[in-house]
Amino acid sequence: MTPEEITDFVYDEAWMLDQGQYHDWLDLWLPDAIYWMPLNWNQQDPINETSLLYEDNFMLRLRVERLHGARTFSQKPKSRCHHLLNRPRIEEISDDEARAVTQMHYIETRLDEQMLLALTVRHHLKRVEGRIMIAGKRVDILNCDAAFGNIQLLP
Amino acid sequence: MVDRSPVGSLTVAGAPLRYMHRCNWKMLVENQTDTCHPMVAHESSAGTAVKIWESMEKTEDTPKPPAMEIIAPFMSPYEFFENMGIRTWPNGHGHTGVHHSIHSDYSAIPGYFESMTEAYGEDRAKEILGENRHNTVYFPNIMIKGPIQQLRNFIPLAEDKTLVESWIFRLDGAPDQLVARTAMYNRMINAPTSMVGHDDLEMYERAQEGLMADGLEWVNIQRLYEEGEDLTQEAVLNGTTERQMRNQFDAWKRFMTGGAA
Repeated sequence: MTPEEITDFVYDEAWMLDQGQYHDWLDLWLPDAIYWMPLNWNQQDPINETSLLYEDNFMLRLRVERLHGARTFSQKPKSRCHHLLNRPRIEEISDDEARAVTQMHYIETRLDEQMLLALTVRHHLKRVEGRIMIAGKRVDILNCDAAFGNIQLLP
Repeated sequence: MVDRSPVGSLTVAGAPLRYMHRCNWKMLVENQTDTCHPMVAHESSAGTAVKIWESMEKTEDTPKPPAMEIIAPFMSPYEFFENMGIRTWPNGHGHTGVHHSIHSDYSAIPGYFESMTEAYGEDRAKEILGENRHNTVYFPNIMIKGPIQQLRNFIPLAEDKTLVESWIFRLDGAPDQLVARTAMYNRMINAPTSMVGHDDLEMYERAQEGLMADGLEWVNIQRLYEEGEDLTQEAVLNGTTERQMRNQFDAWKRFMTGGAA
């Protein structure tokens, strides 16, 4: 992989989320990949403590299908989101694998409410059959231990 | 809940979830023993989970995703919740899941029953683990899920603002898979990022908005009301009765008026 490929991937992924291209976004994920959002600052254990998210392919697909569901009342009207990215820092890179960490500001809005979250996003990427795909993603929210209302979309 | 540990103790696991609700605290407490909303309010999450699972290409060996074990039971039919039963005690306390509950069919964790039998003897171990209570409300603001070691604290901050803390516990001396399932339940159902949580909070906030308007003066909680209902007595009833909500309001009214009402 090249640094430019990794940077483009991270920007494109955030763009898909902001544009609501969720089915294309789901296609970026490898079957065993996990989306982890810790509940605690510097949390080490995703399994035996509560996290905000620790989601496999099935859960991510459920989220996406639910957002499109006719009986999803919490999405009437729908939420919208916006990511503002810093340039990704590439921490590891080889021919077919890379790790990058990106600072982002994430805005989610619905009706009269708007929420701003500061994120540190870690991507683990793999090249599979020529395509770069997500092997794992960890999203740390700066104020992860704050009392939030609904966070309905995917930061 | 403590009995479920082979050594008789619990340890808090990790940080608690903190979820802000723009509604009155009583809605949350009522929700704990309301058995007629899950299949409607959670159709978007639990119903969609069931549909995805049914549409997936799979063989008999395809493992059921954890979401199916945790979220799908919310789609159980009314009969399931009717037969689950509800018990009310005086002063606003009560619990759902007298006979069985949505937690009854969780898969067994290898080694756990053996260590319980060793600690308590087989009969007592079966008795402890046979308790399938769903939600136990200790009025006014604590809910405990014994079978999955969770405690929720409903903290009123204003008439239209409630902070919900959801704590989980490790059963000391029991296999790790139990606290892992508890942590999974907590994040899938009670987190600000939980789809099931989104379903509920939307309903609470809409209801709160409705209460702020003058359109309806009364909220009806008459479901399965029986003539001569005596809330000073313990009762075990059909799981879809709203007796527990009436029980909570009876206690609230007495406590708020210092016994004058």
